[in-house]
Amino acid sequence: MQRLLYEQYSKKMMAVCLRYAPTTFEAEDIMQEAFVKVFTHIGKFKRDCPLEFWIRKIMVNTALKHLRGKQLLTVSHEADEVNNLASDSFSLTGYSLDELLSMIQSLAPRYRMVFNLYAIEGYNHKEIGEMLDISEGTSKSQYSRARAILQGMISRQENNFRENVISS
Amino acid sequence: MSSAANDKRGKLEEEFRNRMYDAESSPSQHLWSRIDHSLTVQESGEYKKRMVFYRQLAAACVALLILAGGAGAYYFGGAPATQQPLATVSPAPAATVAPASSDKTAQQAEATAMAAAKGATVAEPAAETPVGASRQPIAHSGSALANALLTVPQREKSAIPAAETGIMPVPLDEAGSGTLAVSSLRIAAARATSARPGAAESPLRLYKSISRTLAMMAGSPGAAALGSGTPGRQTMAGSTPVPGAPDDFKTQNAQAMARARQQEEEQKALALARSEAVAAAAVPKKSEKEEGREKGRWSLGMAYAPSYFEQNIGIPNQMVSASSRQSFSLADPSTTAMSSLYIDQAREEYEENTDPGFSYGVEVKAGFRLGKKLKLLTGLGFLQNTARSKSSYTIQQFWGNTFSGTYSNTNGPSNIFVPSISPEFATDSLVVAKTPEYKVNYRYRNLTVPVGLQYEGNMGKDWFWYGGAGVAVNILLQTTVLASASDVKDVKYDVNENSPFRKLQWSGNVSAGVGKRLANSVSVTLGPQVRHYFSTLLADPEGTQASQGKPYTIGLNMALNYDLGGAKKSR
Repeated sequence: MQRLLYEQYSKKMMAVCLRYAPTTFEAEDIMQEAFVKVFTHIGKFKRDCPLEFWIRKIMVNTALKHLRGKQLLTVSHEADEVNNLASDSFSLTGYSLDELLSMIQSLAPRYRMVFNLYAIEGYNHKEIGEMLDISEGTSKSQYSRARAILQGMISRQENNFRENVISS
Repeated sequence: MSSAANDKRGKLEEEFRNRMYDAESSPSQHLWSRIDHSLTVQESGEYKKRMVFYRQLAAACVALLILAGGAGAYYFGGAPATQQPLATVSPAPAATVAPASSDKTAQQAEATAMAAAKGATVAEPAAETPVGASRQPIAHSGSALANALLTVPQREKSAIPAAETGIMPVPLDEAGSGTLAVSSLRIAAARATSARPGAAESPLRLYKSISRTLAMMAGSPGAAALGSGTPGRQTMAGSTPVPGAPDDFKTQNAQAMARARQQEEEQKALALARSEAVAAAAVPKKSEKEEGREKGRWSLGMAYAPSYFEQNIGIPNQMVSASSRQSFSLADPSTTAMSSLYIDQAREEYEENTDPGFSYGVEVKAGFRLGKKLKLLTGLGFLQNTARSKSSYTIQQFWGNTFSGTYSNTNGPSNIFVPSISPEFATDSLVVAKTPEYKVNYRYRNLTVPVGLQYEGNMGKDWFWYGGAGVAVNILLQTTVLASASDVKDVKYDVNENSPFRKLQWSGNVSAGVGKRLANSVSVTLGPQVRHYFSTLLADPEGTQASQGKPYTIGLNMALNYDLGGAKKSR
């Protein structure tokens, strides 16, 4: 039974863990710990939400705890003043999943966390502040910074792509 | 997961979410093996925790059994071999019966009676025979009635004839009428107050008996094994080497012990690591609470419970209606009528003026937490239950003999309660005297062994509520009927004496209330408590005419608890 549950959700959850962990090895550590929690506390699942959502939440919380234990989420309370680059004209259709994962994993841990929680998981900054024990403003500024870094990566890759096309 | 405030997501967020939220990536093949192994280790750790719990539960049960066994051994081993029925009255002259009380006046009166009866022969053919059953004539000295009356206090003695002063012999047989049956008389003899040598030493004997029993139990091999937490291991570790044993055996033994210790330490370290991992797996705040609960499974407590005790013993409606044929009948019918009137008045006075008295209980309890909120409690306690009444009458019982035409008194004067609880009618005559009002206290001292369950729930940060129920076995140590008047005889039954009261009683206890945690391990509780006994106070309720109910107490329970093992505040 446990094996069936694992096989059903392991791929999705592995992708979740990879977004939060800097390496595959650490992602598997997180996933192992999180699945043990899932099987241990499966009796507490109240069926008030989809099971996948409940498992995903455990994965995210375990990842946060894992990185917090490594002091990777230590944040400076300096507000990072980053200009909001409002270039919404790009598309990610040309990028593979591995490329997108590489971009996210290249972010600093605190930026990666905030970006994952806000952009992908859908938490708002108040909730993220409570989860990471930071202020809402800090969450916003760190997210802006992460967003700017990713936009920069995407812009550079697009420029490189155009130059390669023109030159060819 | 998202919220209403999440409304400023741009193209980048949407693109990443669409691509990444449901993305999949295959984990390595051996990841499931690692998870499966972790689960196995965790389950074995939980099994070990459960084993520890069951061991502690078994230890609690063993402790309770030892306690109950000790109490039972004392109770059944310390009781006198010959149980003399209450109604069995030795027909010896009054002077030969040593009074239970140390009232010197009474003793002197008895001695005087003895002197007055000098030369008189006393036949004792029916010794140890229930008088009410055999009805054998009892020979007394010719002046026995006068001698008996000598035992009445001087004030009363000088008041004879009774009709003038309120003291009157009550005939139990109105020979002239002959219409009333002998069996209608059921008046207590209260002979159980006869003093026994060494009765004053009974508390000392009690403690010695308990100590001896516990020492015997502790000295038995089984008890020694139970006393050690891990008998096998301790026996091995503590065993002395056999002289002449081969050295290689010693070496192997030492190596095996070292390996066992090492494995045990490794298992402990592993279990500790696992428990930390599991605790961290859940929400952190919650795991701390559970950790706190795990630490404080044992607790000790002391309780003080002041209460009011309702003994629920009434007075029979018809105590005196006729007399036996063997007794005297007074010639004066008005005397009989006045006696009946006094008896009726004494009964009404008892019914109206008997109230619950201040009682208390002191208990020392050990608690064992069965679950997060459920606790098993047991211990040892002392109960003193008291009821009180007022009386304006004294009653004295006499033996009568038709042949000799004499009376002898049984005990000193008492209030109406004492004769009313006797299971067998054993007197032929009563002397009822009206006296100034005096107070009577009925005191019952018990050793109690309670066992119960208590459920606790949080009310706030440091406050909690509790509700508990249980049973207790109560061993009657002493019963005393104390009168404030000096001329009314006190009645006292010690644990080893024959008594009309039940010596072993079960009760049910219910309590509820609130508690406050004063420190990490210390808490106090306060709440009402009801203790209801499962049987009447009297040992033979069927053979007693007195109306009876099951006694109960209502009071407060104040307890101080100390959690062992450094329990945290949260429960």
